Amino acid sequence: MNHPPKQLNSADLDWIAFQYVTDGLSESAAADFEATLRHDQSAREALASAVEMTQAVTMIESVADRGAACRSEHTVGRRHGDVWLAPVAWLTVAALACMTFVVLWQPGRFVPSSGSSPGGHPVAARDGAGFDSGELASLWVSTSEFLVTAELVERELFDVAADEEFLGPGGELHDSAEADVDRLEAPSWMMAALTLPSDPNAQE
Amino acid sequence: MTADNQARIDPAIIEALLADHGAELQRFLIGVLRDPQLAGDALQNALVKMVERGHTAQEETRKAWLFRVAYNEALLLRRRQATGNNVLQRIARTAITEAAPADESVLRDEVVERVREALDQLPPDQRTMVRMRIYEQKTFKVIAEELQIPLGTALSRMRAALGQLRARLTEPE
Repeated sequence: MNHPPKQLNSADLDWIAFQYVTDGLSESAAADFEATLRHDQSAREALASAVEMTQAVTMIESVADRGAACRSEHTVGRRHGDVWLAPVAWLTVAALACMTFVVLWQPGRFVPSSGSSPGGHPVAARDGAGFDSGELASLWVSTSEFLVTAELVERELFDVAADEEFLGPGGELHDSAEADVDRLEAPSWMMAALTLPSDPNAQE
Repeated sequence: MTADNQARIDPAIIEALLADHGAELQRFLIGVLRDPQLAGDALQNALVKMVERGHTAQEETRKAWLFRVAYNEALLLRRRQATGNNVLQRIARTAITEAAPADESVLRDEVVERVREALDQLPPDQRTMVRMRIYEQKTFKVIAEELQIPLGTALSRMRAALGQLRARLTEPE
């Protein structure tokens, strides 16, 4: 049996209409509300508004969910997409190594010249084209560090955990990574340059 | 021309009524029937009644008259059709799949935008409540258990959120 419809204020109507739309009313309360709908235009409008709001919220949350899912897929995709960076990193390293090689082997850089300082070390002569052995060694150390760092970059692209293995919290190389630097063997061309005799005339 | 034809309502009046209140009427019918297709049928039947007997309605009550006739048509249809229980799913489906042109859509863009703004302004606990109740379709009992709050708190949060959303929807632009 339906109860006689009560006069409801706007907030009550909105609440009951929402409950009705979301199936939150008991059977008797729903029947009461439907009785109200027969004669009360404001109740009908409240019901229409509750449907509108429910649809809008559903749409907004659905779009937000899909957006979150897309962002998640994009992040995963970018992770896999980073693999192409590995060959690029190695190509860069190779190009830098070639440039270093060419620069260091420019004619007259290590070859003793007649213009060298009398009695001085030909390689150590700072005539604008040469390097002393200290500089050369320093160059090699920095290049080898760069090579190791490049290798770390490649490892990082495939395994994030490599960061913890090789880099400290501040991004500095761990001891193990520095050991990697030491493991790199100095090339023969550099050793040859470093072991040049101090007196250019002694070679002749 | 018969007397019956002479008594019929001017089609332009029906057109204007539909333009002003058609979407609202459709939402109302979806709320009653929980099915957009049935709501469309009820709307059609109500319009036929409007054409036949709309002239009996006073101008100031035409909207209410149309809603009342549509409601009666909806109840008739509901009696004929068995409607399932999953109310929210069907209403939600209406919201998501009704990619009708803007003038035909039940859900207006500006309403969605207003609700979005209102949702953003809700306190987090109320926002969570709205999402869990409407989008995730959880009962207040389940929500109260999951959030470890009394059932009364869950209800009052939802009611407060609803009040704010409603206020945002009804405030003038």
